[in-house]
Amino acid sequence: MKEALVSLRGVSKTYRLGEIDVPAVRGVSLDIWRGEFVALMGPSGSGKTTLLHLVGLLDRPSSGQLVWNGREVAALSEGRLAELRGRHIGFVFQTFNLLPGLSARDNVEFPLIFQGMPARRRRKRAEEMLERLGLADRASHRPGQLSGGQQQRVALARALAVEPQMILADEPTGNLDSQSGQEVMGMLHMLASEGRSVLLVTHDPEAAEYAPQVLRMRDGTLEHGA
Amino acid sequence: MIRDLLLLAVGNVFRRRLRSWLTVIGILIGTAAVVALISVGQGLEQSVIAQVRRVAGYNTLLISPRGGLGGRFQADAEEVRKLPGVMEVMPVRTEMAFVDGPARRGIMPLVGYTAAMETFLADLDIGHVAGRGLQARAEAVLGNRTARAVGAEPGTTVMIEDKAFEVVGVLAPTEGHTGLAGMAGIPITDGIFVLYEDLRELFPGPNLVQYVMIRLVPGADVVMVREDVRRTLVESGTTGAQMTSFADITEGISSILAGVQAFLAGIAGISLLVGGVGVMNTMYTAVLERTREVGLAKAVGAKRRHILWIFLFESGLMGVVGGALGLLAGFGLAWGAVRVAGRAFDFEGVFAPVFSVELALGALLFSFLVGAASGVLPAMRASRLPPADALRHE
Repeated sequence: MKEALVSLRGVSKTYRLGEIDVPAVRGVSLDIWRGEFVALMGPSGSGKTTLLHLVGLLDRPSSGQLVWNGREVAALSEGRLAELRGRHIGFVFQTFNLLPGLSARDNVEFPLIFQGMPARRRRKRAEEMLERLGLADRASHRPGQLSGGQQQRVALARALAVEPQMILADEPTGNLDSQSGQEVMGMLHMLASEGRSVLLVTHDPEAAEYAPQVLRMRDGTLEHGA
Repeated sequence: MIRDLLLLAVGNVFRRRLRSWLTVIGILIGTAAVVALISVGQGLEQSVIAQVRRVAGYNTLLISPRGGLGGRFQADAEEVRKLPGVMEVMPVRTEMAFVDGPARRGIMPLVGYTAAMETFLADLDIGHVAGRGLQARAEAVLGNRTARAVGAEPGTTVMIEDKAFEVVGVLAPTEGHTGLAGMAGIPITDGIFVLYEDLRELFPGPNLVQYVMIRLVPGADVVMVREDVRRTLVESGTTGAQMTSFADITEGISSILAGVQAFLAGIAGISLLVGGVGVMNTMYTAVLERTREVGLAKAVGAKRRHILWIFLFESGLMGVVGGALGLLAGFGLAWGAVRVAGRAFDFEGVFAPVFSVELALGALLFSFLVGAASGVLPAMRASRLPPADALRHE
């Protein structure tokens, strides 16, 4: 049996706010396979964004096991986590998080800098990605000169630049009109069919429909029976 | 990779143009102040030493009264003149004499003039504005202010201590140079010069002088001649005197000037530190404002040290730019200050600021360090931002 790309066993995350401990994720167990497209839904405060951050190695579990590509994450240093993120994971955010002073091309190149890729190869890769997402003619535009849908596609191009094993999307359609939203979801679906895993966090039911697998979260735990 | 990070940093600094310029100005002003002070100070030092050396050189000894101004001592100039290694001996003796001239009468300083004094005055570029120098007895040369006060000119007869003297010359007015002659007790503008023999005749008694300047033969063994001179003077009855070489005086001047300079530069350095605080403030603000950016960078694989480098490059860059511009501004300031001071204090532009390569490199390096050091703490804070929190930040 194939090994899952990401494997969680009894993972919990608790935040400390002043004097109070806030359990955001409680005892979640979950496998994500290669090429699997999973949607994670739930009301706000359910912990779905926190779970996304844990899977994306942006944060460490307070307890439990998290295994990425066969490696237990708790044993890894900050630097190693950064490397893994940079090489295997691409993020798409609700608010796009593009660097406003850089062109679309420079934004897409950005992650490649930290992989040590030389400038010429970076440029080439960035242009390929933008072409793939239909934005080749906007390569020199700044985010401020692009529509919401275009910005999210640049963000997607950036996420794809490193050729990641997994895309993590946190409410990607939240700031988009329905048409742009559909375009973006269609692309994510296509990426999954090419063999990349996609974990989608959303409370938009239309977006969730693109995912073959939908998980629901409430109060920090997964509801079974998806 | 470092080059890429540097380019990112450069881009960041240039994009926030106004904010960066305001920060740079702080470093600029501090650097300009330090550079201006040091270059003016060094120029002043060099100029003073050059003047002293022009007159005295390193092989001059000054015998002065112990216990400071106003004292006198007995000295046998003739004996000292005979010593090997001694080229010239100039006794400086000034007596207050009663002078009766066409326009005024009063008590004025009378200076005994010797051949050695002629060389001394010539080296100071003190020439005549009228007439000629002393050649014979019963002749007098007047300082510029004295001549005007007394109403005399070449050809006039004045009575000095009831003896008739013919005025044969008037000295040119001097300003900045009197300081040096004043050091040797010679009143150039306010005095009356007569031959030393005339002075002795008017004021009989032991030959009590205020100073003796001794010029050594170039290449002489200074230490040995000093000893010979000392011995000769003591043996011929000189007491209450001390010997200094102009080298000692020059060193004394240098160390005083260096001390003053260091003090002033230290104060100017404070303004540079304030500039550094400005950099720190800007960088802390940048960290706050760019929390999401940092979070994103970390999310896409930037490590702590990458973030650290980017922020350090930004603050160091602002430091260097401030330093380079401050260097230019400092030079301009130094030139301007010297000209204004020259006009205000009548220095005739006597000295020029010294711009050395060491000063320039030092200023650039120091301003870069101030910038970078001020950015260290903010950069560390930026690098430690946890990616998840940073992305969550509004």
